[in-house]
Amino acid sequence: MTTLSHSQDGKRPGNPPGRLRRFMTEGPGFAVLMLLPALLVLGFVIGLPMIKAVILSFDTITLRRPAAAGTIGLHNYSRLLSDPDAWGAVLRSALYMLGTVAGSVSLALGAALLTHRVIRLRALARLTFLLPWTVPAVVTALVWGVMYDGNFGVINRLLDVVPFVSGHDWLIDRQTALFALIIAQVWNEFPVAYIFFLAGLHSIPEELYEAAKIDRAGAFAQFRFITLPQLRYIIAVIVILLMILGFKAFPIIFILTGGGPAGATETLTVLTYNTAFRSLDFSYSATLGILAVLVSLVLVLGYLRVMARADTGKGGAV
Amino acid sequence: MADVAFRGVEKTFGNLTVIHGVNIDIADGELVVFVGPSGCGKSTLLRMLAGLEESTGGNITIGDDVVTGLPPKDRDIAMVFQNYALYPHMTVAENIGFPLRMQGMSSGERRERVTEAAGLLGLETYLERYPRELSGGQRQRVAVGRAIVRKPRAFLFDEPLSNLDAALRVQMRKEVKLLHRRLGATMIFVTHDQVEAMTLADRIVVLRDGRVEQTGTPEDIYKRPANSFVASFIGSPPINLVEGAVHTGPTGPYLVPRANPEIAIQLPSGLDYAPAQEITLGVRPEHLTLRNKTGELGLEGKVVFCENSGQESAVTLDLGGLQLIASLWGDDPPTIGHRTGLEIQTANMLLFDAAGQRIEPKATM
Repeated sequence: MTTLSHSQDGKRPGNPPGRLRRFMTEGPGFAVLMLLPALLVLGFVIGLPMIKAVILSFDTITLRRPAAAGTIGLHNYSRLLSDPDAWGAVLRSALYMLGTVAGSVSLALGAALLTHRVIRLRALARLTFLLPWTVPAVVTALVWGVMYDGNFGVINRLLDVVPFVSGHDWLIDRQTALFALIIAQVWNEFPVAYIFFLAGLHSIPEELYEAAKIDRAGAFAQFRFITLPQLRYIIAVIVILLMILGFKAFPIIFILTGGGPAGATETLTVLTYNTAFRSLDFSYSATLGILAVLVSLVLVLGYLRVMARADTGKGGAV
Repeated sequence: MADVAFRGVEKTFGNLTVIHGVNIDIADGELVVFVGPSGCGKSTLLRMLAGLEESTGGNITIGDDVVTGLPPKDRDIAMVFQNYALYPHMTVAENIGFPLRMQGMSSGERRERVTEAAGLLGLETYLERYPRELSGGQRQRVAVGRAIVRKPRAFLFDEPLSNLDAALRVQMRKEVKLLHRRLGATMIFVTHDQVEAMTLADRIVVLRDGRVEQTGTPEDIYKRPANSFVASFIGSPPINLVEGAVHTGPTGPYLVPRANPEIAIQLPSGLDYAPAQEITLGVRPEHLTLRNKTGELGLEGKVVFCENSGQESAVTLDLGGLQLIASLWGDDPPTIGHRTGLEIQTANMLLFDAAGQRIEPKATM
């Protein structure tokens, strides 16, 4: 088509209009042209708020003292560095993240190992483990809130039958609140990892297990020397994904404890929210938000690195 | 090393029986090849011996031990798989040493044994590489290395050369044969390739539909096939099978082919033929000779197809609807459409009854 139009209008390929047309139809210009609508939308919905948040973090906008509004430069950042509440929240976020990752990965791997060889009632078995994922986080929080209730919650009812264990106010006790939230979060998000692991297990050639059986490997040795190494990149990917999910988790914590009791479950995201909408300090909240973005960015870079390694073919079942 | 025996071994999947009471004896140090078309049960038999498939009847013994029902790890056998089944995340050294690691052998002793096996297979320079960094032939060698490092009671090979190109297959075939000679081990090799079977085996077991059709040396199988299936499965180009009725004339018995009743093919005398008995005549392509002059019984055909492989030509002749293949060695192949006389050597004829079983000659001709 292009050649025909060149010969028709008598222009040689390579002259300016021809080059531009070629750039737009065959060169990188075409890719840019096709991506432009999506880039514009993303820039508007993600880029703009980010820029706004950065600007906000250099201002002082506190609705409790509207008259004090104005640009204060790096003050919010120096305040952040010396704010024990903020670093306490970072620590709780890290604990929450590690707890949900450890819980979700082990539960999902166990469920995947249990169901990937199931032949009868395969769909039912898999559906059972996928079901929590279909439940919205808000509903999960409400259901677990009822289950954790100190007076009539089912968990305490079940514990009643265990000797020497008494009922407990799981979400009110500072020692147990974060742990209780982690369990609810794990229940809600482990199916993401379960799907990944199931797919990974299916992609491991059966011949490897047969060879290992003949090489005298028992069930545990097969898991250790075949399954785990073959899943290592999937595990790395899912760990980082769950870390990102765990770090920015909000609805379950906010609905069940709102960061309490006495800040015992106040993670960075909850602190950011509370600073903005309870303390009405939008600028400092934006600064906390920037910190959360930076931590997430580090995790995303880790994820991209793992994916790049997997793409070079060094991975097992990816 | 040990002998291996299958005694009335059966395998069923639901209502489908795929192995029907198979009996095979394999002597200590013997290289036996299971050969047969796809779906004949050869790989299933091997997997049952390995313990990767459960048998539903009969017994399998290795040495003095009945291994039926034992898990693979307790059978002391090694297996080389069609797709190599190398552990992709382990180096060549780790792959070869894996069975020893599972035995709990110390790393020093393991390294010694791995180096020894690698030396035997020419893999010394590849020990630190990963399987993905090796060619198909090298991967196959690693798989063999992983098998021999253990010194098991029997080696099982499940179509290990199928994924290799033709030249490499011939080379690996030779290496397996040499390895067998060097180790003196009991080896059971499964293949669908009859050339592989003929060139490798001390003895061949021909299987069809889960039954043993014949067990014998390559020479036995080729020259004295038990039935028309074995005769047609073994040999390339394939044997000519001519169905027809036996008649007796002044020169002795002759066959009137069903495909062309106008011609007669002289049969060996000295066999008990019933009048008008329906038989199948088997003639290997190399036992057909092309002549310029028409033979005694006037056999003449037209060349309709010719496959020239360089040293040998497979010439397809049409005898009025009956097609026969003749092998010519070294000669210039005849041109398509050329008419030629044809002679069939009666001494090398194979005769099969209506059920396909070979008719044994009662007297030499």
